[in-house]
Amino acid sequence: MIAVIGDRETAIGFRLAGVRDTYEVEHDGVEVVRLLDKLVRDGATIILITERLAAESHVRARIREINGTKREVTPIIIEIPDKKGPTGEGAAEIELLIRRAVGVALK
Amino acid sequence: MPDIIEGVSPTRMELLRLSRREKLAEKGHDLLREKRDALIGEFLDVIGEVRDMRKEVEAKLNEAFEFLIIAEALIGVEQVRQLSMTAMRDISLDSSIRSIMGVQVPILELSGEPVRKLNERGYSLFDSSAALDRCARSFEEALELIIKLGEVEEAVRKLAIEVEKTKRRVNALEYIMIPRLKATRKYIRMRLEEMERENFTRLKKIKAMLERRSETE
Repeated sequence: MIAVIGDRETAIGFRLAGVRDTYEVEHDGVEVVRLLDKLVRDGATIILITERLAAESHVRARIREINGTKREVTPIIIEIPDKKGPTGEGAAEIELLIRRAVGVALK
Repeated sequence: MPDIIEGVSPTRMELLRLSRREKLAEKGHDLLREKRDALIGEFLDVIGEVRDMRKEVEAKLNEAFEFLIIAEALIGVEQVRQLSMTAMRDISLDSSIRSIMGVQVPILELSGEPVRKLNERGYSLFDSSAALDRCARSFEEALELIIKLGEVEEAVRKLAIEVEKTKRRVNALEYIMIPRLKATRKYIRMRLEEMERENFTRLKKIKAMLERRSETE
């Protein structure tokens, strides 16, 4: 199952692309966390979330928690830019992992 | 000076056992170091991939949102939203697992073609426009790229965890376990030598005593 959590336009876009589970949320961290928990319980394979929603502090914490505790390879949570363009947050999360694993920042 | 292992008795048996353990630890250390280097190699490969793919996703989504704005301008914001509700939404995903050096990473596959034909999208062509079709197409293409990126990012995440774990094990062996075994072995060897010297002097003393006794007799 593919799920999308994002603003209105992101949800519309992915509905047009054929995604069934799209959720429209505007800056409501509590709601995003609730949705994430629900999707994890329902066994989502991949969850697309906009960088702006993921950057909210307890959403960020919950995403890290989900990634840290999952036993399987799914659910995969991936951060995507919204209509205002990339914030660099999605890429930064991965860069953090790389730095921790290799010990230095790699160009 | 690393500390020695507590509670070992300074005997030859223990010394033999320790040198066997040390050999094993050194072998394990070599193997783990090789594993770590190979893992980092794999890791560096996927890092390059993940960076390129994210750029691609960003560009594609940017384009898709532009088309969405054009479609909204042409046929109305609310109308686009209504049409998106009536679109065929049946994309599904298969996931399986593959292993890179014992690390489980996902393989994601969209069932069917993500980029659909015009009449497969489900919304009414009468109420929409070519701009909406272009927008839908861009989002389909973006989705395909995002799924691929998700797959690779997850591989990076799993590999990063494994690299860290392996590094920690290599370091624990190199800086704690092996020095400790070496120190303990040295300690036992010195104790044994000391005991030998003690014995030697004791024997000498006894010999001297015996000689003195035979002289007086």
